[in-house]
Amino acid sequence: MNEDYLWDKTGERDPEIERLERSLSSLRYKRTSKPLPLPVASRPQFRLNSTWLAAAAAIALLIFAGGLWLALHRSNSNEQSNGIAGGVVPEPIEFPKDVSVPPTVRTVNPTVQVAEDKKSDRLPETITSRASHNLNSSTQSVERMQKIALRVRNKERVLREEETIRKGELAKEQLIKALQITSDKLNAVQKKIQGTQEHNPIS
Amino acid sequence: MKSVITKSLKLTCLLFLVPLFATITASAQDVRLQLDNLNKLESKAGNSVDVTLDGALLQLAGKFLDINKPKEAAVKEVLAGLKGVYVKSFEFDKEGVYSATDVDSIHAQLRSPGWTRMVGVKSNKEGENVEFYMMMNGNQVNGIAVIATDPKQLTVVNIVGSIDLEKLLKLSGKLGIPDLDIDLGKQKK
Repeated sequence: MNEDYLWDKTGERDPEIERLERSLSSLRYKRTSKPLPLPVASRPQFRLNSTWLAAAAAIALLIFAGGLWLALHRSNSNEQSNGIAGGVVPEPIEFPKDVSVPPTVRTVNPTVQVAEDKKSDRLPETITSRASHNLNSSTQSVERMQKIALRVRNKERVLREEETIRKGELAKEQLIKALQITSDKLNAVQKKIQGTQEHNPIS
Repeated sequence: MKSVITKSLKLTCLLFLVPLFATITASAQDVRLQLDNLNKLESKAGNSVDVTLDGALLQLAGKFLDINKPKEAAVKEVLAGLKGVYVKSFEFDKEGVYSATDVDSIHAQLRSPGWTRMVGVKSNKEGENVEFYMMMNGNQVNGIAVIATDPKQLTVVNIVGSIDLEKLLKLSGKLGIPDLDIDLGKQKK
């Protein structure tokens, strides 16, 4: 008996071996379609150590300190420009209560009231005056803008009216001129007719 | 079947309405003369007058006429029914600047139905020629046209709208318009 078939499936077939193959075929090794995943390379983990922490804290501290310095510097320069730093205290602006305030100003009035109330609690007068000054300047700018807008609208209206008047006057002149020419020509016709009738009187 | 009848009726109405609308539009346009061919004479003329007043401008002009002034009040009365006033007048320094063909196109328009030549005065000695045309609709005047030519002058007047000639005659003496003794009834006969 040739055993090549059992070894590498060459040579003469053995029915007994084939039967065994069939019966055991269900247990045959099956290759999966997907290849096995490669092992994932482990990422290098960022490790916090004391050196990094110290550096980050130093940078944050520097930024905070810089911001604080800038804020203080601006505040000082504003005070100097308002004349407060030099000891010159401007007189607080009084808002007359009997004068009617425009709607835009009326919305800001409670702040003024708060400022006045706090004045009685012996708050520094500079704070009151600054608040009043800011409020007054914003009110004035709003009023100025309103006045400018009104002036522009009025100017546009005036220009439109002037244009209409100009066109109307021109049309009127043209109409009168046209009728004048028509009358001249009709006058000529009448004169000719009258002249003809005088020369050849109809009996 | 019903839809076929409806469609046929709509089509018939359309076929009747389109020519009717076209006729109305054409008749309205005929009252206004096309004077654009005279524009070329403006550069050759010593003096020229070009008046083009449409409906909106006429209304605007009417608002600026003062009824307290007799002259302007009279103009305002005439203005009531007007739809357009068109005048082209040229004065030339020498003779023969314009040709008869320039006026022929206007004469051709005035030969269209509706226009009637009321008066025509011709002076061979002076070379003057004045023609007065009217477009009538019953007793109502829908428009007038005046063509006045002499060797050194050319004037064309076209007034569109219902013109009350009685009111137009009232203008005489106020704008220099004389009392016209033209009996329209006799002229028509």
